This record gives sequence, structure tokens and C-alpha cells, in this order.
Amino acid sequence: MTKMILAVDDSASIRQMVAFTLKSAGYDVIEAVDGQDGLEKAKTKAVSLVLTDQNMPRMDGISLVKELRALPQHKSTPILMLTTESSDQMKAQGKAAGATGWLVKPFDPAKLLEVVTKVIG
Amino acid sequence: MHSSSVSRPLSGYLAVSLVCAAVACVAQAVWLVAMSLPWQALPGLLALFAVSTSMLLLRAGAPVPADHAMAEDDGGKLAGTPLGQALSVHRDAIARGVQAVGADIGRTSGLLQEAVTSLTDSFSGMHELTQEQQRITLAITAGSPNGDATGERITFERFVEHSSSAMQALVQNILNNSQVGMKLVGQMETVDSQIKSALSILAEVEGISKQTNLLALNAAIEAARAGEAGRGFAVVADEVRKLSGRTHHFSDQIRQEIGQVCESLNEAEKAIHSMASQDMTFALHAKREADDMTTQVAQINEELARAMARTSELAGDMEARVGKAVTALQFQDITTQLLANCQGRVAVVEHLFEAIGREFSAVPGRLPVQDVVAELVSRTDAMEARNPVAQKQMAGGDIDLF
Repeated sequence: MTKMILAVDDSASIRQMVAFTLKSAGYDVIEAVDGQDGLEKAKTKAVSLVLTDQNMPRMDGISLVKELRALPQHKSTPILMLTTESSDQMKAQGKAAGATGWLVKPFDPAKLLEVVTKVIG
Repeated sequence: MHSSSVSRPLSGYLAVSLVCAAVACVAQAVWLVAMSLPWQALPGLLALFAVSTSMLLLRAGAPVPADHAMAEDDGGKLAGTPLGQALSVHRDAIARGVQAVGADIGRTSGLLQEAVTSLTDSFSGMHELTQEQQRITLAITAGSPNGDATGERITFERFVEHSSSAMQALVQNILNNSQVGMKLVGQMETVDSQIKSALSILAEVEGISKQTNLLALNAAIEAARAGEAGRGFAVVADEVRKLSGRTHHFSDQIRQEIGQVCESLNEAEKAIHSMASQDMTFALHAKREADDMTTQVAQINEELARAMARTSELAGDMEARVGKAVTALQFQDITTQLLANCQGRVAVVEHLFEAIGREFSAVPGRLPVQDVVAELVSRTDAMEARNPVAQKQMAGGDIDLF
């Protein structure tokens, strides 16, 4: 069964690039325009992995991670942060919130796929 | 001082100007509040105006019109007004300039977003086409999925091998038939020789028949000479003569039959000989042609295989390059965030100007900075009217034919 990945980013082009990269490798990808949208979609879809930006309107990435971890079905779902933020302080906040990993933009499609494959196979 | 600051080349990066302006504003505000001595702040304020308004004029890298005439004696309109009034008068213009910078940044961000989305879509399409091309190449190389009678997949290479072996077998059969034909020709010659031998024997039979007939005739003569006593003998002699006649008749029939057989055998021998000779020539020629064609087809197949391999390599290269493009195109997300940050800084500058204007509203007298302000504001208005970039979307531009 094809695994579904939720890509959350307020940048349409980034969502497009993430979807293009992951779909090329055979994954199903659903997109969300911000944290709030991502949370709503994660509640209704069988998501195997969440890839989220940090700085977004309505709800940022770390808040999304906290919200998802509060949901029983996403207590152990891998969540990767994909953001321009690279400070240790921010990464520590992400880790404390329950994020699985932190990827700094711009991402290399091959490396993104490598990480995703490592996390969810 | 103001003259040189106005006429210097307006180049550089908007972000750097914004940072300089913001830092200058913050430092100035802190200093003014701390010292409570607005008059001593004039040199700093002048520098602040020069930097900040130059920043507005830069407006995301917009070029300065070469033919733009400096406002002449704009300070005359402000003659006699205090600095506070000047700031108050130009506060709206400054606000317009700052808002224009914000709008240009927003527009730049939108254009970037649209362009990069379109580029990503194009690269995505290219990638899919490349993958499709690779699938087709692999399918051609792998051969027909239906397979042959044995269920094995039919490849071009296998087709060439099978065709070659089938052609070899066919040619070999023809050569074998030719050899058999030559043997038949030899056997026909043997049969012909045997028939001639039989005809020779038949000639002996005919000779015996003639002699028997002659003997019977002599016997009849002798019987007639004997008279009554030879009457019985005459009957025997007559029967012998009849027997000889029948023998001669049968010999003729046998000779005729053998003659017809000989003619048929001769015809068959000619046909077999002709066929054997012709087939041998054709078969040898066909064998050479088949060998040449097989060699050529094998070469074509090798070239095809090399081309397929190269196509596959190119598809891989294309995929890698698309990957790099995807990485590079993410500059849009990063620059968009930087531009948003610039907008925030511009907003801070705008608020600082308002605060400074309020601070100086009670200051009487006329100062040289008024001339600088008037001139720079005039240039800002001129720049607003001459902004060379009007596009708000990355769709193809309009075309006007005159």
C-alpha cells in the first residue's frame, strides 16, 4: 500500500517541489497551506509522515507538532521540520515539541528522499 | 553636504539600505530621548534623511532616470516654515514612499512566487517526460511482453538470432537437396546405361527371332520337297515361323516401351540436373546475403543498444539536473521570507519618521535640512511616476503592433 505524506508549507512552490520529489519516488502526497490546515488534514487522513515548515500564518510548525502529538493517532507519526530556520534554539524547541527531525531549506531532493525512506521506508 | 548626498549614484541593495536606516532611526530616537536636545540631533537627522530617502528612491533596485531634473529651489516653498512643519508637510510623502517600497517588495515576492511555481511545474513535467522516455527505452530493450510460443520474451536480439538460425537451416536444406539431386543425376545415368544394356539384349532376342523365322522357312521348304511325308513337318515349321513372328512383334513393343522410358528418364535427368545446378547457385548466393544481412542487423542492434543505453544515461543526468534545479528554485521561499522581513523593517522606519516628526513639531526656525528634504521628496515623487516595472504577474507580456 502506498504511504501517504502530508506536506505543510505556506509557499506553494515549496509544496509543489516536495510533492514532485516524493511522488516521483512513489509516495502519495497531500498538501496543506499552513499549520491549521495541516492539523485538520492530519485528523482525517491516514498520514505516515508529516513534513512541515516552521514559519506559517495561523499556526506555525512547532505548534502543529504539539497539536499532532496530542492526537492519539499521531503520537508516534514521524514529523520532519523543513524550514529556513537553522538556529539551535529553534531546533531545540522543535525537538522538545516532538519533531522527529529538522531539515534546513533549501533541500536536495535526493537527500530528502533518503531521509524520508530512512524514516518511513 | 546635501548636494553630494543627492547626486551620488543610487545603487546598492535595498536590504542594506533598510538595515542602515533602521539602525540609524533607532540610534537617533534613543539619543534624542536621552539627551532631550533636539537641536544637537540635526546632523544625525540629516544623515538619517539622506540614507532613508535614498533607500526609498532605490525602491528595490529601480534605476534613477538620467534626465530627471533636480527640483529647483523647492526650499523656496518652504521658506520661513519651521523644521517641525517641514517634517509634518512631508510626512505624508515619506509615508507614501515607504508604502511604495512595501508594495514593491510585495509585488516582487508575488512575481517570484508565480515564476518559481511555473518553473517547478515545468521541471516536474520535464521529469515525468524523462521517466516516460526511460520506461519506453527499457520496454524496447526488454522486448515484447507477450513472449513467443515458449513464453520467453521476444527481444530484437533473439529475433535476429532466430532469423539467422532459421535462414541457415533453410540454406542448408537447399544445399542438401542439391546434393541429393546430383546423386539422382548419377543414378539416372546408371539407369540409362542399364537400359542400353537391356536394348542390346533385346537386339539379341530379335536376332534369334529372325534366325528362327529363317529356320522355319527352310523347314517348310524341306517339308514341301518331302511331299506327303513332310506334310506334318510343314505344319510344325509353320507354327515355328508364327512363333518367331510373335517374338519379333513383342520385341518391337518392348523396344518402343523402353524408348519411351528412355525419353522420360532423359527429361527427368535434364530437369534434375537443371534444378540441382540452379539451386546450388541460388542457395550459395542466398547464404552469403543472409550472412551479410545478419551481420548488418547485428551491428544495427548493437548501435541500437548503445543508443538505448545512452538515452538511459541521459535520462539519469536529466533527473539529477532537475534535482539541482529544484534545490536552486527554493531561493524563492528564502528570499520571500527576507522580503517580508524587509517590509517589517520599512514599517519600523515609517513609524520612526512619524515619531520624529511629532518630536520636532514644536521646533521654530528654518534649517538647511529643509532643502534636502524638499529635494529628496521631489525626487521620490518623480520616481513614483517613472517606476519602470509595472508587472504584477509573470504571464506573458502584452504585445502592441504599431
